[in-house]
Amino acid sequence: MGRFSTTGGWVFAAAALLAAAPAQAELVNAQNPQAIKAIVESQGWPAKIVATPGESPYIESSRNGLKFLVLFMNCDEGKNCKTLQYYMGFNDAKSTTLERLNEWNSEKRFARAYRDESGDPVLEMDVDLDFAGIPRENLGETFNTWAAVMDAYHAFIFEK
Amino acid sequence: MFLIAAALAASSPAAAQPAPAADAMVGADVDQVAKVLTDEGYKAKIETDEDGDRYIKSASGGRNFTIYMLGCGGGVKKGPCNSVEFYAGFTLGTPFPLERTNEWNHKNRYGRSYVDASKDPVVEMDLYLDTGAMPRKLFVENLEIWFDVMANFDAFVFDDGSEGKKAK
Repeated sequence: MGRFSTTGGWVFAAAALLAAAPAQAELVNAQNPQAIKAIVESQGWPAKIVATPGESPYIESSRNGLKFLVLFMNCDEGKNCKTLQYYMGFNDAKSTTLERLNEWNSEKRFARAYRDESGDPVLEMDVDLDFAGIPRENLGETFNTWAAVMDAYHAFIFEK
Repeated sequence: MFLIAAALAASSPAAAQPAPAADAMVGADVDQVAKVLTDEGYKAKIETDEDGDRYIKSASGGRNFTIYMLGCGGGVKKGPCNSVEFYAGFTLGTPFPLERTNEWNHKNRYGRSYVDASKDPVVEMDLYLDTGAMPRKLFVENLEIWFDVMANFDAFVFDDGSEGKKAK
């Protein structure tokens, strides 16, 4: 085995590719629900696309026992969607006060909390993916951020 | 139907201006963000707070707003930041009701509103811009979304809510 073994060469090539990646990062937009589904699944979360012809599709998912939706928005009759909204709500926390939700909105970032017409505390986060979208890695990061705020919201609503 | 629709409509038709490097990426960098603002015709004044952190003061629709760089690497010397936060607060002199900010948060997207310690209404919007950052064109659209969010909240706060409902 010489100095430039096959394995070593491969590692070197991979490193070179990784180094080159940022300049040509693959962009992902919201036009193809399957692509978004794949990214949700790559986080290790289940993902089921719910699509009714002519209506905007959404993805049902969950993690750590918390269900959430990825809603496709700004669509053209259910197609060519331009933005996403991550959504979750609790239907067993109607005693949550507006003061408490205001505290959340004042201290936290990225996601917006409110009480809906049923009196349930909801959490939403919006991501604009118009045009070519954003780098795949960054979209994955928005899901990591969403996971963190979901956990924090759950704790915020139930553990105090 | 949603807030972004107006921003999309406003930005889509004629991209007549000379395109500054079509695929340029914008990150959570004060100088980069300030340059996009000025290139787009908005003012961008870079200021430094008491901790040495730089931020941008700008304005749209006659209202001032601030852009903070957040999620910056810690340590002795601050590393790159991973996100920006847009901030606009209004001084009313009378306590703003939580029912109203709750209503706004329910009906709108992108922004996050609250009543601050002085009982004044505030609206913020966060944008994640780490690693690969964001194509300039999409960043500009997010700027326009922020302008829309701020104008909508402004109208909602000062016009008894009817504008906020309309803008849904």
